[in-house]
This record gives sequence, structure tokens and C-alpha cells, in this order.
Amino acid sequence: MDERDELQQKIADIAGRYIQRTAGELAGLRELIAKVSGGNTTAVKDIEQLAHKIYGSGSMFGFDAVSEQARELELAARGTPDMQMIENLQRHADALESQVQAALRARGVR
Amino acid sequence: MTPATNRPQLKAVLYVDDEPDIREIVQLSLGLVAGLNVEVCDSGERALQRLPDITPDLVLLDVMMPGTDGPTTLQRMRADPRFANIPVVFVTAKAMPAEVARFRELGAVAVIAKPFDPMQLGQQIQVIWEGLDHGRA
Repeated sequence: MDERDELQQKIADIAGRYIQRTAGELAGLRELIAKVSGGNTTAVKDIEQLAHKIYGSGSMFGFDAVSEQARELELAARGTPDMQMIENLQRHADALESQVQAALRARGVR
Repeated sequence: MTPATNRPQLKAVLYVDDEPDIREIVQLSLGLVAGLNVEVCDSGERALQRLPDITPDLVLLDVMMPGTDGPTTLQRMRADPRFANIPVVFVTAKAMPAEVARFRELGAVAVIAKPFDPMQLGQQIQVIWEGLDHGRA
């Protein structure tokens, strides 16, 4: 195995860690959306940053569907919170969670 | 006259990103470049603290980071005479043309879009480095 093959293997390992960690971050995402629902307007910035992180890294590791949903969530978190935004955040968080679960299943993680 | 003879070798790079997986990939990827020392930081604030010790030839900055983001880090580097001339490259998922233009206006010498190809990153960095006007640095 040359050093490039070794790099590919390490990237695959890091990708596995990434998707598992992202699954763990979804609970925090739900909490942030609940905060926005409760009137905490600054939590939308945290949602935007978390979604952006998932979006950027997901694309790096080939989790395109996860990345796309995270991008939708990031865009939905821009602006002033209102009922419509909260609905959109919840909808995109649901979709993101579905894609993360699908990615985990595809890797044989239950 | 060969410009290459005037060009200093790229020896040290600082990569700043709050995302640990991407930091690790960049470190592994640039680790393939012979003779290149790669340091990483997890925030703009930490990078600004460490710059005096690292003295990199080139800084690679993620754009969207909690606290001191990439553009703010660049602005603070430019305001400090010790770091004002260190070339900065943004590495970002925000690589739409308008955003790239804004990053260039801020003083970035280049923008690398995420996702990047880890197998090609070293070469990308070298091309950027070789395209810089080192005589003015």
C-alpha cells in the first residue's frame, strides 16, 4: 500500500467517524430549534453554523444527500425567526436526520 | 532569468478550521508534500495567538467558524505588521462567485472550494504559492 492508498483509507475512516458524530449532533440541533421556538433568536445563528459545518464536511466525505439537506437547513436558518422559519427548520432537520440514518445504514451501522 | 530561482520554497503552512475531521484530512493530505510542515488550529483566535511561534509561509483559513471567523482573522492579521504580509487562502464551502470576489477584496490570495480533493490539495497549494509575487511580500 503506497502513501496515497493509505491516505484514501484514512479518509474513509474519518468519514465513518464524521457520520457517527453528525448523528450525535442531531439531538443538539433539535434542542437549538426548541430554543428558537421558545423565543431565543440567537439560537438560529448556532443552527446556521452547525448546519454549515455538516454541509461542508458532508460534501468532503461524499455524503452528498446529507450535505444537501444540511445546506437547506443552513439557508432556512438565515433571517428573523418566525413561525414559518421554525416549521422550515423542523422540516429540514427531519430530512437531515433521515439522510444521516440512511448513510449510517449504508455503512452497516444501526 | 528564471523566476523559479527567486521563489522561496513553501516550508510551513497553518490550516485553521473548527471542524476536526477536515483539519485531519488537510494535515494528512499536505503531509504528502515533501518538506512541508503543516500546523493546524481549531479557531481564528487560537491561530492569532500561535502565529508568532509558527511563522507560516501561508495560512489556510476556513471562513465560517464560531467566534473569530475567517474574514475577521484575516483582517486582524492584516492589522498586525508581523503577519500583514503572510498570504492567506480561504478554504470554504461558500465558494459562489460573489463570495469569492468578496474574499479576494478582503485580501485573500486565493479561494479553495470545499469539497476539495485531498489527493490534489498539496498540488493546489503549490500552484497558489508559485503564483504569488514573492518579491513584494
